[in-house]
Amino acid sequence: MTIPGEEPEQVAKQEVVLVVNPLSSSKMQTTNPLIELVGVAAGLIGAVNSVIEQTVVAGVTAALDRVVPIAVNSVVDRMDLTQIVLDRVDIDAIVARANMNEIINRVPMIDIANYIIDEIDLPKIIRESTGGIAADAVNAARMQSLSLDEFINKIADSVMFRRKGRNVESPTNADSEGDE
Amino acid sequence: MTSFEKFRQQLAAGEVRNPAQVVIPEKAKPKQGHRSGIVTRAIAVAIDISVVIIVMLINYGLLWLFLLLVAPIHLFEMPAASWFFLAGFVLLWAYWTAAWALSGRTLGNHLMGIQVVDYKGARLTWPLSALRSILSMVFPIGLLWVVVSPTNRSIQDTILRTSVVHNWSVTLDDPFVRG
Repeated sequence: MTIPGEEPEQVAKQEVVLVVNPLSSSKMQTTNPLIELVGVAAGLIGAVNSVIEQTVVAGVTAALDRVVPIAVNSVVDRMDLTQIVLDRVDIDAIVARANMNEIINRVPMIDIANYIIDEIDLPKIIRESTGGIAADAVNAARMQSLSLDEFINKIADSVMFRRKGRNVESPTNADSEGDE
Repeated sequence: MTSFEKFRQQLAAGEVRNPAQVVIPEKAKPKQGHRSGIVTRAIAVAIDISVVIIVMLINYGLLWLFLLLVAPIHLFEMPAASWFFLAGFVLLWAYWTAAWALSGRTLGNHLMGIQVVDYKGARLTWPLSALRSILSMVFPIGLLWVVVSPTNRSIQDTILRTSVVHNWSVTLDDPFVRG
């Protein structure tokens, strides 16, 4: 793994060296041997420099390739990236800029809807709610007749001077004398 | 769709709520198991008789259609109305007998939330049910004794030691299910 910013710089340096060499040797034709010597020396130094540079760069690159991932990993291990993102990144802004239509186009909406309907058992809900309405109506009628029953019973009991009222308990609970 | 069998299993396992706890209003819960009064029972009887009358009218229409299509025209004649009256009586008797012996409820009983039980609070036997049915038909005025009776019983109930109790929902506690 290399850091992306580094490579273009190395390439630029190598190019510079290649341009310098022909300049010093062929184009500058001077008669002064001293200057020629300096030129050759400069070329030599340049070549050596480029070799060293290449070697060093290759070595450093290889070393970085090895070290950087480990270092970055160990650094990242020591940081709570999620928390950093939550602290520093405006997620709302990112979501606002996201193209929701593209996302929704890739979601199988009909399949999901069918799945939800299957899971919540929609027919059962409809059945229960309509059944509930019917049950309410029936219960209302039953309550009406029940209260009418009690009203009539009360009148009949008072006409017959029956002070205790009636025994309307279920036959299963204590109904020995109720059989008349 | 849930079958009744499956529903009962689920109810026994506690997977579904008992409908009795859901359906019955709070005010009516203490009244469950109490003997029902005259108004409720009269309405139930009226509903039963209406059902039988409707069935007999349909039968009359079907018979008329059948004879019209099948019988030779010079022999076409509807039976006398008294035959239908008699048939209605027999039908009502059979209907009440079967309903009380099987579930303790006729259609009218079911709508009004009442149930016919014997002196133990259990389902009526077939002979008892048939007897109660015939007594109810030959002496319908006996129902009015409910108003006077100290235990909300009609003449028929008093003779046969039966009761008509409020039971607003069909549950596992029903004599029918238990038996």
